[in-house]
Amino acid sequence: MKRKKIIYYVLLISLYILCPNNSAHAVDAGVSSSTGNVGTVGGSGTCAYCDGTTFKSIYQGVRLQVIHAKKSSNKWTFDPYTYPVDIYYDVATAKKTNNINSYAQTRFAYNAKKGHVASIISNPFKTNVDFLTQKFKNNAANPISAWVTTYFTGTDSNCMQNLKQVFRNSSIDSNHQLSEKKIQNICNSVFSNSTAEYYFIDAEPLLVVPGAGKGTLYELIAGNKSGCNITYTNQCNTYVNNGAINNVQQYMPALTKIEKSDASTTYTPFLGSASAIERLKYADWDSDYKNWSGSIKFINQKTIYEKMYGILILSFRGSTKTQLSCSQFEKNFGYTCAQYGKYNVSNYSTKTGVSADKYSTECCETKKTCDTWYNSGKGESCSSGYEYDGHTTSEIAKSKFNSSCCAKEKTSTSCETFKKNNSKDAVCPTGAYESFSKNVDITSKTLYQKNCCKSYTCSYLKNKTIDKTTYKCASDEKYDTSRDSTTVSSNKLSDFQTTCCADVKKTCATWYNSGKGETCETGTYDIEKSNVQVYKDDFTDKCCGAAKICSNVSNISNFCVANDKVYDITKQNDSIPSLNLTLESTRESVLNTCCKEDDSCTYEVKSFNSDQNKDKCCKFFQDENFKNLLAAGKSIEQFKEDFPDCFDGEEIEYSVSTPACDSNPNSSKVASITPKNELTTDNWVNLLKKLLSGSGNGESVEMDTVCSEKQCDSSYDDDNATNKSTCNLVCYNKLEVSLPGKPDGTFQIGQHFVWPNNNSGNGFSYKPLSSSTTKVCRIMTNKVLSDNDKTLCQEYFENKDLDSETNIQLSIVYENDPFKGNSTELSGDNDSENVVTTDEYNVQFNNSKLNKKSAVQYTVNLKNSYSLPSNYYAYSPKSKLLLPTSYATDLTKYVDIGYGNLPISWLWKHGDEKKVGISIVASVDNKSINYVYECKFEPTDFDKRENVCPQYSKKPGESPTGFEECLNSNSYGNCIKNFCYDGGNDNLYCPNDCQQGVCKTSDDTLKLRECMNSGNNKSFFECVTSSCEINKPAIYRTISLVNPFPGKDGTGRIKGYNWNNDDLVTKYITDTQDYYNKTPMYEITLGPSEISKIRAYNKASVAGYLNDTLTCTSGLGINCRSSFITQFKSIFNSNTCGMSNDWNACDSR
Amino acid sequence: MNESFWGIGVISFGIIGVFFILFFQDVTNTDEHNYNLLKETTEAAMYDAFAYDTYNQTGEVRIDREKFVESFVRRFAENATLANTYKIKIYDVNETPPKVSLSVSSSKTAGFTGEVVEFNIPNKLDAILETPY
Repeated sequence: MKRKKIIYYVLLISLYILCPNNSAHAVDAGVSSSTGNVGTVGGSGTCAYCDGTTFKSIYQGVRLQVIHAKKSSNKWTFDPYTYPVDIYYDVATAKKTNNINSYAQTRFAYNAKKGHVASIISNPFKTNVDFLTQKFKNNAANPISAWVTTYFTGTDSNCMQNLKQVFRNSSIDSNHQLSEKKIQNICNSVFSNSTAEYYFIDAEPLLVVPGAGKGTLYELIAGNKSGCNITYTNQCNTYVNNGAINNVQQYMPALTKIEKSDASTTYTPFLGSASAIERLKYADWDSDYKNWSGSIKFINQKTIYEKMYGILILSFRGSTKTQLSCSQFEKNFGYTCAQYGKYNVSNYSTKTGVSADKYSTECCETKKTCDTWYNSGKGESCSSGYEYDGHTTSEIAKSKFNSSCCAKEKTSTSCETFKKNNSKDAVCPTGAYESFSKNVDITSKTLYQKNCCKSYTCSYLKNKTIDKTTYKCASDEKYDTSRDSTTVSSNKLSDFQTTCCADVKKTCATWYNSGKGETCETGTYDIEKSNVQVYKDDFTDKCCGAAKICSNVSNISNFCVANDKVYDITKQNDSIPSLNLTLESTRESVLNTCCKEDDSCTYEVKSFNSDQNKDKCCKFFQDENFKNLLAAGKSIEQFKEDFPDCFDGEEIEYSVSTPACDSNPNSSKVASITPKNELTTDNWVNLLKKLLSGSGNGESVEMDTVCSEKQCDSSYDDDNATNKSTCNLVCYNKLEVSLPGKPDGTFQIGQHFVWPNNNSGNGFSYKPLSSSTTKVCRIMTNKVLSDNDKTLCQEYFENKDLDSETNIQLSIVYENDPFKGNSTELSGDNDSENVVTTDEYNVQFNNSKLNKKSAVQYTVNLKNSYSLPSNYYAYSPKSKLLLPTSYATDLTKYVDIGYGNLPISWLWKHGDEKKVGISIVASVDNKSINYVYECKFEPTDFDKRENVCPQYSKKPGESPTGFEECLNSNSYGNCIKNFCYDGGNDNLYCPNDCQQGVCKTSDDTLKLRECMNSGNNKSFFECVTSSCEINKPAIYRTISLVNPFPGKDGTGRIKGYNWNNDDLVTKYITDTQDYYNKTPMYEITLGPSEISKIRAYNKASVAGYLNDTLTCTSGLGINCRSSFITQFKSIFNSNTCGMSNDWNACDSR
Repeated sequence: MNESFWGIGVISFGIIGVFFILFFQDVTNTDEHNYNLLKETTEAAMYDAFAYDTYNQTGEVRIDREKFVESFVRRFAENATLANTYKIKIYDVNETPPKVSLSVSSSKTAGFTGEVVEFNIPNKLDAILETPY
C-alpha cells in the first residue's frame, strides 16, 4: 500500500515537473518564442493572397492592428508619413541595436520604462510577422518599415493597470477612452476561469497604409473569439468567416472602401476615408469596438502563454512622403494653423503638394498689425506709389501689408498749409505741441491733430521756456533722465515736475534743518543718523528712531568728555527732550541732559624722586591733613609748592582725584587717592597664570586633551591706555586626526583644547556647547548611506563641506571689583580674522557691585569648515558603524576626524596661531583704560605627545637636553633633526644605515632627508616608513610579569616605544600577575584526534598560517573573529570569556 | 632454586628500574619539549597576529587576539606529539600593546600499586612585542 502511494506521488511529481501548471505561472522572459507550438484553432485554415502568397494562419484571437500614429498634446493623430522608422524584425534585435527611434518602439520603451511590461518575451507571433515581413519586404512600393511587439504578462492584480496603460495611453480621445468597466470586464473574463488558458490581444484599429501614390492595400487580419476563426482582407478579397469583418465594415466603411481599391490604380491614401479617420479619432471605444477586444478561449492550447496579454503594433510606411493639400491635412488629420498659433494662408483651400512636416509653414502664416509689420525692421514697406498709413487696425498677414496698410500717395496738404488756411482747426490738443514732420495730406482738424501734433514729453519740456514758464525741477528734486520719453499731461510746470522729477537725497540733518517741517516725534530724531542720505519721503522712517535716552547714545562718555563734561550716570535713563532744532542744538540737548560739569579734578603726579619720597608722598596724600587742607580750599598748586618732591621726576601710575577741589573748594566731600590703574599688568598676569594653572573651582570638561601654558606676556600701551595680557596655550588632542590629502593616520594635529572651567572662580572660562563631544568620522564608501543605515549614525554629512561651529563663553569674574562705581564697556576683540563674534555686550556698570559671583560673559562663535575628499562621507556613528559590504570602496579608511565643534579646527596645522579675545574698556576716573585679554591656540603635531626621540631616530626613547625646550618653540621635525640626530639634516639616517655607530648615506637616507625637508607636513614616522627599509617593527620578548624591563644593572632600561609609558606597563603587565589564578581567556584541549584534525586543516590551508580567516568590525580592522576558532570550537572551552559573543567580556575579569 | 629466584628478582627489579628511568626521562623530555614548543610557537603566533595594516597606517604595534589564538593552536598542533593530551590555557592576550600570558600542560599517567597517578607538566610563558629601542 505504501509502495503504491510512493509510486503515485512520484508519478505526480514527475507529471508536475514535466507538465507545469499553466494556470499558476506567468510567462518568463526566457520562454521560447517557438510560435509553431501554438496550435491553430479550428476554422482558420489556409488563406491565399491574391498574389499567390500563402498565408497560413494567424493565431487564434489575435487581431493584428496596423497603425501608425502620432501623439501630440495628448491627442492622437494618424499620419503614416510623419515618422520614419527603421526596420526591426524582433524586439531583441531592436534592443540590441539600441536604435529605438520609431513611434512604436518609443512606445514600447515607454511602456517598459513605466514598468508595465512585466516580462518581455520573444515574439510569439514571429511566424506571422515573418510572413508579413517577407511579404512587404519584397514589395518595393511598400516595404515594411518596422514592427514592434510589446507584451506584458500579468496577474490579477496588475491586469487593470496593464490594460489601462495600453488603452488609456493610446486612447484617441480623452473623452472616448476605453471605459473602466470595459477594462475590468476584460480582466474579469480573463481571470475568471482559472483552469482555462486565455490569450488576449487587443489592439488599435487597423489602418493599412499604401505607399506614396501607388500603393497596395494590405492587412486587416482579425480574429475573434467565437470559433477562433480568422478573418482577413487584402486588396483583392475580403474573407469573412464570422461577424468580425462585418463589424469592421459596419463601423469602418471607409476602410472597407480602401480595402477594395484596386492596387493598380493611383491611390492617395485617406482621401476617401476621412470618415474612417474621424471614426478612428472619435470612436466610441465602448460600443464601436466592443467586439474588437475580448478574451479568446484557447482549446487544446499547448503553449504556455498563460495569462499573457499583449499588444502588437505594426507600423508601415511608404517609401516617400505623401504630399497632400492643406485642406486634406486639416480634414484627414486634424491639422489646424491655430495649433501653431498661426492663420491659414490665403490659398489654403487650394494649396497642394504639402508634406506633413511642412504644413505649419506652407499652409499657415503669422498675422500682425500694420504698425508691427511696419516697424519690424524687416523691410515691410509700401509699394511704389503708395505710402504707409496704417488704415487697417486689425491684424493682417504679411502678404496683406500693402493693401491693408498702405494708401496711394496723395498730393499732400502739409501741416503748414493746413494751418495757414485753417487757423481755427489747426490747434493741437492739450498736452501736445505742433510737430510738422509727417508728410500727410491734412484735410481736417482730426488729421491735423493726429499728424501735426505731438504730445509733450519730459525731454521735450526739460529746461524749455514756453510762455515764460521754464520747465525745471524743484530745488529738492532733480530731473529723472529715465523719464525722458514719458508723456506729460499738460504743459503746466507742476505737471512737468510731478511727472519728470525725482527726489534727491539729502542728509537727515539737512532735511531736519530745512525748515520745511521734516520732523520726528518728540525726542525721536536720531542724531546718530544725521549724516545718512535719505529721500525727503523717507525722512521719518530713516532719520527718526526710538525715544532717545542717555544710555543709548553711543559713546556717551566720550561725547561728554569731548565737550568738557562728564557723563552723568545717574541720568542714564533720562529721555533727551524734544530736539526740533539743529544738530548743534541736539548735541546741546544731549549735553544738557546726559552730561554734567566735571566736578572732579585729576592731577597727574609726575613722579616720586625716590622710594622714600614715594612713601612720604603717599602717606601725605592719605593723611587726614591733606584732606583737611583740601577741604580748606588749598589749591593743588599750593600743594605742589609745599611738596615739590612729590611732583617731580619720572612718571608714575598714580593720580590724585579730589571732588570739586577747584570749582568747589568748600565741598564737604573727602578727598581720596585712587590708584589710577588698580589692575596693573602684574595683577592680571598673575590672575591669568592662576587661571591657566587650573586652580579654579569650576567643572572641567573632560577631553582627551592636554594643554600647557607656554608663555604669558603683558604690556601697557601708553598711547592707547591699553593693558594687554596675552597667554599662549599649546594644546593638542590625543586623538589621531588625519588631514585631507595626507595619508590616513600619519599626520596628526591637536584639534581641541581644555581651558580650566572656572565658572565660580576667577577669570576666563571656556564652555563649549553640550553637543560638542560628538565625534565626526569619515569613511570612504562608494555611495551615500541608505536611510536605514543612517540610523547607525548620530550625524552624517554628505555634502563635501563639513562645517563645525563652536560657541565659547568667555567669562571674567572679578574678585576685587575693579570697576566698582565706574563706567565699563565690554566689547569683543574682533581683531583676529579667525574669530567671528556673534554677540557683543555693551555693559555699563554703574554703582553696581560686581561680586565674586558676577561674571562678564562674552560669547565667541568660531566657525571652521572641512572639505571631505572625493568619495568620502563623514559620519558620527552611535557606537559601531557596521556598514554592509555594498558600501565597500575602502572601508578600512575609517578615520576619526575629530570633534566638530571645538575651537581648534581639524584643519589647523602646526604653526597656525589662532586667538580669541575679549576687551574691556573701563572708565576709571573718567579716563578710559582698555583691558585686552587674549588667548592663543597653537595646534601642534601629534608626534609631540612624548618629549622623547622617536623610534628609528638615533636616540629613541631618550630626551636629550634641550629637546623639550626645542619642542616648545620649533616644529617636531626640526627638533628631531637637531636633537635626536645630533644636529642637522645631514645627520638623518635610515635605521639600517647606521651599524655600531658608523652610518652611511644610502639612497633611502637621502629620501628620508628629502621627505623631512619637503615641508609636506609628514610626520617623522611617516617619512621613515616611506623612505627607509624597516626590518622588524617589533621584537618578541619573553618577560617576567614582576620586572618586565630589568636592564643591565637591574634598575630598568629604556622601554620600547610602544611600552614607554609606566601606566601601560603597570596596567598590562605587572597588574596581570593574578591572571593565572583566574579563568583563562581561552582554554584548549588537544588530544591526538584533535591534533590530527588540525594538522589536516593546516595541510589544506593554501596560505598556511597566514590564511585570512578573520572577520573584523567593518572597516575598522578591530575585534576580529577567527573562523578557525568557530570551526574548531569543540576543542575550546565554551565557558571562557574569549568564546563569548561579547568581545569585551574578558575586560570584566 | 633460590638462586634462580634471586636471579629472576634481580632481572625484574632491573626491568622495573629501567621502566622508571624511561618514564621520568620521558616526563622530563616532555617538559623541555613543551617549553620550547610553547616559546617558539608563541613567538611565531604573535608575529602571525601582528596587524601590519594598522602599523603601516599609524605606526601602532598591535596584534589580533583571535588570530594569535588560531595561529598558536595550529602551530602547536603541528609540532605536538600525538602521544600526549595537551591543555592550553591562554590567560591574557592584549592587543595594544601586544602582550600574551599562557600556559601549556601535558599529562602522563602511570599505574602504581593499582593506583593511577597523573603527571601534569605545566609550562607558563609571558611575552610581549616591543619596538626595538
